[in-house]
Amino acid sequence: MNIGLKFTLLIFAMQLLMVTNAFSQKKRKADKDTEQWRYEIEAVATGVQGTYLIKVWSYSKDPNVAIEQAKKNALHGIVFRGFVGTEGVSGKKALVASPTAYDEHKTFFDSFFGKGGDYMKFVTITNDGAVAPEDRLKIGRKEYKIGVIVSVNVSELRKHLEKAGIIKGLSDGF
Amino acid sequence: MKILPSLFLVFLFTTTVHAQEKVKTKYLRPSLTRMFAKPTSSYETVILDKFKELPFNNKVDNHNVDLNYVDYPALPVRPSGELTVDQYNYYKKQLEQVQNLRTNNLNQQLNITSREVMAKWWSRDANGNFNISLVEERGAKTIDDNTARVNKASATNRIDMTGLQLISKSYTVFYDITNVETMEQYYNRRDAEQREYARKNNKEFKPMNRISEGYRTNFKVTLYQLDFNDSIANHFYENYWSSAEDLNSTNIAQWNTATFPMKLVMSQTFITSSTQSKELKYGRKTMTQLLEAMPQKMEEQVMSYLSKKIDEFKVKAAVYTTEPLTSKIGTKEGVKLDQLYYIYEIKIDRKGNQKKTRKGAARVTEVANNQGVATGNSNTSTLQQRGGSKMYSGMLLEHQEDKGLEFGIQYFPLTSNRSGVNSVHLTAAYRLGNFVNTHSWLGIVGFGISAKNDINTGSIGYVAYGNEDVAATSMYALLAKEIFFNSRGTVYARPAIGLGLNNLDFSEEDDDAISAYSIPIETALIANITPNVAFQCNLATRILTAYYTDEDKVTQDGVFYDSGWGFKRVGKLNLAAGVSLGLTVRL
Repeated sequence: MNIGLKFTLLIFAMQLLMVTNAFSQKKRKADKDTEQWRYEIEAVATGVQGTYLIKVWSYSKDPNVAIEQAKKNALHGIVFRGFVGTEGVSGKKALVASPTAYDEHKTFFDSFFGKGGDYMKFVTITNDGAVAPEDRLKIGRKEYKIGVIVSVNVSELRKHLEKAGIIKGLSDGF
Repeated sequence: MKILPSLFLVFLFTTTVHAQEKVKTKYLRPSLTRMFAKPTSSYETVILDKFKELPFNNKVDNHNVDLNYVDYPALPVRPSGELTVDQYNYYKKQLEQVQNLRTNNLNQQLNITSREVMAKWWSRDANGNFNISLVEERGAKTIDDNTARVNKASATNRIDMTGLQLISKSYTVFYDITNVETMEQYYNRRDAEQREYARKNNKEFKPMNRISEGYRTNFKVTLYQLDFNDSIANHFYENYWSSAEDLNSTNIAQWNTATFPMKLVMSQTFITSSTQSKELKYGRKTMTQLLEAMPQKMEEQVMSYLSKKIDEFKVKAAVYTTEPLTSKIGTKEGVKLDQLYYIYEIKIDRKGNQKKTRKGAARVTEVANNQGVATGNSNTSTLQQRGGSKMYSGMLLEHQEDKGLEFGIQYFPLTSNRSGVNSVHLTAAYRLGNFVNTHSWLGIVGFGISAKNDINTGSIGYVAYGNEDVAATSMYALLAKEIFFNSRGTVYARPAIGLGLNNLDFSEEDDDAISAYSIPIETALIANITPNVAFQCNLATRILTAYYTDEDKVTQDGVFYDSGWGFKRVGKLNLAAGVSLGLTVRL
């Protein structure tokens, strides 16, 4: 392989690394935002049996990253935060009552919310990833606030958390 | 109907006014009701009769109800010349009386209209009972894919909620035709005015060129909007609601005196004409046909105006995909090929107020047939971006009415032959999508000119010898097509071909001018600076026939000089080429 070709391949590899790293940086920032509870949840409508229909607002410099993060933020919010109701739609308390639950069950939650983690089983984006104009807002010079409507299968999520011993079952007091 | 109170409660929430400014992003189909002033001439009667059959524009719902004409007498005309005090006071009194009568009659009719509009919304039957079938139907027709998908995942029916929101988008358009005249009457009136003006100002009177026949009308349109806010909705439910399942005879009896407020939105005067050239040989219409075509033209003008001025008449949607640029709008929203849309990004400031910033423009290249209820998998229309920033899914797409006109000026610093391709060109282009169902095609007319004193022409027939002052002009018509290289469309090509006529004039006397036919072939490279302004670089070529005087082909004798004006080949087939730089402005 001549030196010119080696040089070209090296430059290409460096660029690929830089692009991948830039995307990873945005993803890591989004994960950090989730951990710091930097997202918002609002009730949209009463979901069909066993589900919550909510809108999750996520922040990122890349709108696509924010859309991706919406699922994780939705589950994180349902588990730890709960949400306030609106007219005609009642709010819900967090599934996990203790604010220190993440640290108490760190191994479980790191895996649950990790890459390819179990959280993905309990949430679906209802609008096929298509963001409405009122849900794509630019704040400041570079950051976006993106609203995504998701459906969370709360009944299955509750069972999963009960099985893992994170929360007590409803019949556990008897 | 027990479900109604809870629907109203949800509706009240959704119509709550938020303190922070928000950009309107949803297109909720307005419904339109037509109301007319009583006709005062046979022409007006024909126009109003034809209006009854006229279908509504695709992007509004037909909410016509059975109404009488409004007795709306014409305002008295101020007598001309100097008036005495008594005469002036008499005129003022007459004016006030007629204005009061008009206002009273109009308000009375608006009260009746508001009741009939509400009755239609709630499908009032002969027994005085209401139901929500039309509200459901219109809501289903209006919802977009996002709402359809959310509705599937929701335990409550969001379609009815949308239908309720549509009631407050009910508009009544009141047409007052003030004057209908034939073109002959119009020409006579204008000639009389011009003659009087010329006499007073000691100027020469020039009569109008009577080239058209048909009709011309002045009319005024006033737009009202039904005010269906939360307190009106409550009032309606408590005092007038009755249904087959929940009969309320008191409410049924009260309905006959029910009125609902109508807000005045805007008022505007228009002039419309329905004419044809007197010289037209093919497709000629009768005078009756021209008059009957008037309502369509009147309403198109009104809808175009409303789409420009009133936000609720502008189609809005989200950008769905960006490569290619698509959006989930189509025939249901009245989308047509070549329509212009601006694309916005919504920004939010520290106080939470929203503002939209334009990021680009695009024109429709493919229209989706999306009639029927949205299911979540609607077809998309495709657009071609024309400059601007990178687009993203979720940006706001908003329809812009435009005239489809472009005006350009070009300077040719380089040309092989200034009589073939002139130094300066002025062009006017019109988008053919306004006439035929197509996109990216334009018809262009152009005019070019080059002039210079004291040029050695050689000997050209009997029209020029030695040094002459030369003026070369050309007129041409082109058919052009826009071709885009990428989705962003910042730079695009526009090849064109057509026919033209070139003139060479060697002195001030007409009989020294010679002409040649030309085939212009051009390719422009256009860079969009803004949606309305573009920079243009044009490679123009001309195939010129031999020049002719009125009767004979021009010949050349003796010494030949080209002088950069192609004089060497005036009597032969000639080619010319040039490169220009210019600007285009779009309206």
